[in-house]
Amino acid sequence: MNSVLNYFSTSIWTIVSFILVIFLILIPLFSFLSYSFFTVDGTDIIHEFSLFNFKEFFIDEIYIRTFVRTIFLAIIVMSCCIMLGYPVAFFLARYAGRYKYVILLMLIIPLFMSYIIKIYMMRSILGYSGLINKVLAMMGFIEKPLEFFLWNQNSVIITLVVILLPLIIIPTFTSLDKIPKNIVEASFDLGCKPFQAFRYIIFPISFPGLIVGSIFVFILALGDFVTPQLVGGTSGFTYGKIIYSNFGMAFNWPFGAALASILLFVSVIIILLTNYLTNKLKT
Amino acid sequence: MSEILELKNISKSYGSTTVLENISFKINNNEFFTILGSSGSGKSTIIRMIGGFTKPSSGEIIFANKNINDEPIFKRPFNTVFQDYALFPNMNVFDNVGFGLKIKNKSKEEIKKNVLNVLTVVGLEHFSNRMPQELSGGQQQRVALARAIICEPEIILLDEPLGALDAELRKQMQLFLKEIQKKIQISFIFITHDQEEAIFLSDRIAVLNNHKFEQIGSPKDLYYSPKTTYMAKFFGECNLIKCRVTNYDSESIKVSSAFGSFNIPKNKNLNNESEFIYGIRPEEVKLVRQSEKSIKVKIKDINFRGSTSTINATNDNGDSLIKIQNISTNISKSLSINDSIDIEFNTDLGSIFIE
Repeated sequence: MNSVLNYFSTSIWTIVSFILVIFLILIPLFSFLSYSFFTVDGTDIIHEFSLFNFKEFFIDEIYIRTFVRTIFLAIIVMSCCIMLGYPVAFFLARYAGRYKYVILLMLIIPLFMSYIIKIYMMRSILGYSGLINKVLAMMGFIEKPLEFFLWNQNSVIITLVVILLPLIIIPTFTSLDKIPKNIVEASFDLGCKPFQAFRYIIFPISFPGLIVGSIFVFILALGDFVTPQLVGGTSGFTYGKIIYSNFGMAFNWPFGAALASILLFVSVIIILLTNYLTNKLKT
Repeated sequence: MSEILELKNISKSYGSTTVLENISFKINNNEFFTILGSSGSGKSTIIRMIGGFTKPSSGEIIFANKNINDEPIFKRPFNTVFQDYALFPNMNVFDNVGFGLKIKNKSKEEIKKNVLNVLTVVGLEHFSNRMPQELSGGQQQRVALARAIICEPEIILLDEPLGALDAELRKQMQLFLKEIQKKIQISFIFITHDQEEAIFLSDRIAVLNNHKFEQIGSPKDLYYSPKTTYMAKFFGECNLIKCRVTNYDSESIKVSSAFGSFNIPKNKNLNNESEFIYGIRPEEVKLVRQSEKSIKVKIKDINFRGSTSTINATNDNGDSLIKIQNISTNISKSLSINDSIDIEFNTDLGSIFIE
């Protein structure tokens, strides 16, 4: 009797989780995908199947160019995050001793802050009369404000790196932190010099964590539209911003949906590809 | 037998806590040397210092006539088998075992040949593609051992390697370790808190107590000639009797104790009036017919266990206790509590502890 009840309650939860997935994820996703096959006439959406939006994407080269540029931007952001985040996670996990969780918490706190506020904060640091320019001017290095930091691609990259950095530190730290001390000792014992221990033992074990963080950063940087909007100016134009403007300003939902579908498709491909490569690397 | 490693006056303390005090010992070639001590006695610290994971606060570690105190871990010709194996989770069994050779830049063919060889020695030749997580505790243990053996170290350090295994597997692995040590002819320094394990495995045992070595010697030495009362009670049981020399002549020594007086063979550490503790194992106390040499005691209780029955007996005042073993079943049948019996010590096998 008990086992029947047990079975019953387990299967109920299975059904509930399926229903949740279907209603909260699959149906919205499907309706959104289906929009990409509609067209607009003025402000009216014509609910008829058409590949017009996708044709438009491939014909007008600005879209592909922006898309490729945004992918590069995301790759740069991801690389910067890896280069800054991995060492931080490494030193935190291996050398910060008992304060490591306190420091980690401090690194995570920005994640609880509003995204918009962080971008504005970055604007006040990078801007013409921002912190960096003020300090440099005060110290007499520059006479007029540097324009390198604001209203261009650089400012988008810097802002995204600052905002997304914790996302790479957390999973990397977690994977580094769970490496038992004696595994590293064992590698020394078998003749590894410190760098070899890192190369053959520590890095490979922490690699999956780094990959998870990198994918987070890449996908979020790829689809971001608020950062270019607020600090990107006219030259910091990204693919996410085009999607946003199609929904918001141009009222061309079908085209926006088509662009978003392409982004989704590419993102999924990238995730699957990384997964495949990581698995292959393991064996 | 030649010595290969010597620890000279090693001390270790963390802040104000002393872990080891003035430890000295030598390791011979092809020796199974065990350090036996309770948990927290600092026994792991000793092999961590030999392996190079910790530095001694004072003293010298000498290998091949050279002080290796400051030699980094990776240069020392020792390999460690860790308590929880510490296999690399990102490599399969083959790569784990071959890792030491790979670091030494050996060729692929050589690594392959050696790994398969060593895996056969430890009986895991069919497991080379498994990941460590897919192995049982005993198998992981063998991989850890294979990983150390393949480097052909001068000494293998084993830090309580059998601690995590269940009793049955433990027995198997003990046999396995003993056999393999004979086969590969490498010195083992083995750490354990298990007395039986130490006696079964070791050529020599060092007993660690209170941050110091009580005694170092073969299992037989430790049993038959304990140097301290701690050691006397450590292996098996021992009656410890307070004695005073009453008559010292060229032939024998007459001593008095709570049980009356008896004679012991000549001993140059004793002189007239000196006080000492006499240790005699229960099996060396004999039940005898009354004679001028015998001592009269009263039975307090009989612990009937067939052929290994023991008797606890007291002296006349009832303030001292003595344990007697190896009683012929014929006699033990007829004895009962409060009976008076006569005993004699096999004084050839008694130990003298001067405090």
